[in-house]
Amino acid sequence: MVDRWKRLSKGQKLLATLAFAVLFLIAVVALPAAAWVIGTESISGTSDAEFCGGCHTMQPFTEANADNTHGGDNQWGIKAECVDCHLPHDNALNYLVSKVRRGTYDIWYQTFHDTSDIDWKAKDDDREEFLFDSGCLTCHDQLESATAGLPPHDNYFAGVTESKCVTCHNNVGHSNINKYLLEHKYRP
Amino acid sequence: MKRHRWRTGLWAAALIVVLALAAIACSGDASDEGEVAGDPLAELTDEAKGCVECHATETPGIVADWDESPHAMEAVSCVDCHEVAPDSPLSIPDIEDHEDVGIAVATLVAPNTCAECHEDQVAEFNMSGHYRAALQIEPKAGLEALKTVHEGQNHPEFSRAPDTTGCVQCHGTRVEIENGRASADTYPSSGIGTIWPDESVGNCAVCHTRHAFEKAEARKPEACASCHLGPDHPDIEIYENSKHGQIYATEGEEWEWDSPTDEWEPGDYRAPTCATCHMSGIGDLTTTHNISERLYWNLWAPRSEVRNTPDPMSGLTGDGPAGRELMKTVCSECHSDDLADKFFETGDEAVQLYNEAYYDPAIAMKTDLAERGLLKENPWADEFQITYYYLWHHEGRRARQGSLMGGPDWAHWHGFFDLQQDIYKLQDIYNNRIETGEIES
Repeated sequence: MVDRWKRLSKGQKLLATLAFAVLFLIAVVALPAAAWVIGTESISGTSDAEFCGGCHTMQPFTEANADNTHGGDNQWGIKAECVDCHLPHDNALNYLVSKVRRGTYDIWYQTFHDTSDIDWKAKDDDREEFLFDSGCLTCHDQLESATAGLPPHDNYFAGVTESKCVTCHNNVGHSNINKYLLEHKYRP
Repeated sequence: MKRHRWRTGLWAAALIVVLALAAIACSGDASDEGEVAGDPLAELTDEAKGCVECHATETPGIVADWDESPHAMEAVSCVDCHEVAPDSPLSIPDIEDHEDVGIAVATLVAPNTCAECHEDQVAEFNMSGHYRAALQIEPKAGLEALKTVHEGQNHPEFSRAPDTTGCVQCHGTRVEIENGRASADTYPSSGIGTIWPDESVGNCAVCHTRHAFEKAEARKPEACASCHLGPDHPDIEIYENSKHGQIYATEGEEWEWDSPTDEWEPGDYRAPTCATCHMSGIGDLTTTHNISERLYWNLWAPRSEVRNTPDPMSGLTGDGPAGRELMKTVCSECHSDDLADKFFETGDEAVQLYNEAYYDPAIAMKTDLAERGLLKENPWADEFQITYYYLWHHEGRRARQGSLMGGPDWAHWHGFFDLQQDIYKLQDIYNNRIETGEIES
């Protein structure tokens, strides 16, 4: 290798150095930048109601969400995206892994299963599995001090209950879900 | 060989990365997806544990109720509601066998305590007609005389009995406290308008009975029926008489009663209950504990008028036209606007017929007789005044409430049929007294 380098002419050496520099720049700067852009785009682009509602099965939920305070039906128009509540926010890696895992599962299930006979109302009983306190507390980050003295919240923050936010706050994400499920069942 | 080792290393590195990712993912999930509701007793404070451990033996009914409730799940325990400031009038001093309890406790829990968590619900209640239930009957001398002089027969010892066993149990009363204990005249009572020593008013446990305090219970008509029944406001009987009540009676036990607040919707049930129309967050409406908010008329006063004031102490509390629109919004979840419009059109006709054909002529005769001194001093021994009372307080309410809540038997046979008998009887007595110038014997 070293011998071969020595045998190159000056011009060849310059050309090789330049080529190496360009490749190095592409590898270290351009590729990560592109990956970052594509990555963030694909992460954020697959996070909102527009994307999630792309599947027929999810449309009643995105519409019921739009009818709810958290979906933008409030005086300020503030809107939480699906993943703000439905993915863990404790650390970035867990967020990504959960996103890929749950997203892949949903695509697989949607593609290979009949989703029309899911009893969504019954699934409400399992809501703690699909919603993450770390998501709630990312926005409601002053909750502990703001509601100090409120026994259920005091107990929650002291860790003496095993309840999740949605154990009690079970109407926060979607409004009039019965209606939207019915509409979609009979919509051509 | 060299190449082989390099490959093995790569696989090992990949495995480590995958394992690390899995470990992080699992630990993240574990922290966010724990099991719901373990054994709450383990997490209670020492004081709360002390209560529960003894009372599970002494009053197992109370602990069993609480044990199954959301309060227990959230570790909201006895002391969170029953602990009071040592100087509170409700604080019970020197309770037998409680020497080791280091805090002041009260048996009675006022809505202000509930409001520490359920603030909106209590505020809405305070703007409702329920708020007035005890306060409105306090100053009424005629009613006081009915209870003690007539029903109680001025008995030297027992004249309060009709009031304490009757009126107080639904309306509530001003709680009289001595040494932290309420008097027998004022306790026990499930009066919705109970007036507390700090002048706060109400009793949440009337509809959400203690110590389970269930939402599902208050959504069922039976929660209202323990007071809204009988000859003077047969609201549960009217409901049973209605098509809504028929459907509830035949299949209500299969319905979904535990849906989230504001999310208890058609599909969970096939017909509304009292709470669905008067309180629930059906469709785009928001749940309210102000049961006057969706009303147009006052249907219990001697004469029905349209509601027109925010003052909960007035019988006309509410905003009639706005209330009617809210109620029609409820109807529209299941019915056409045409149906709702026509239902209210006929119901309103019934109310106005009562006002103009029964109440107005009856009060005119009564006023005339009073001016001529032709009414007996004791109204409860005077056929004219007794009939007048039945006309508005019993039959008139049945006709009006039956008409506007879809109870045809109560609108008609227990309502307008009785009303025409009343008015003919009043006219007969009136004519006789005017002609003779004296009260018949």
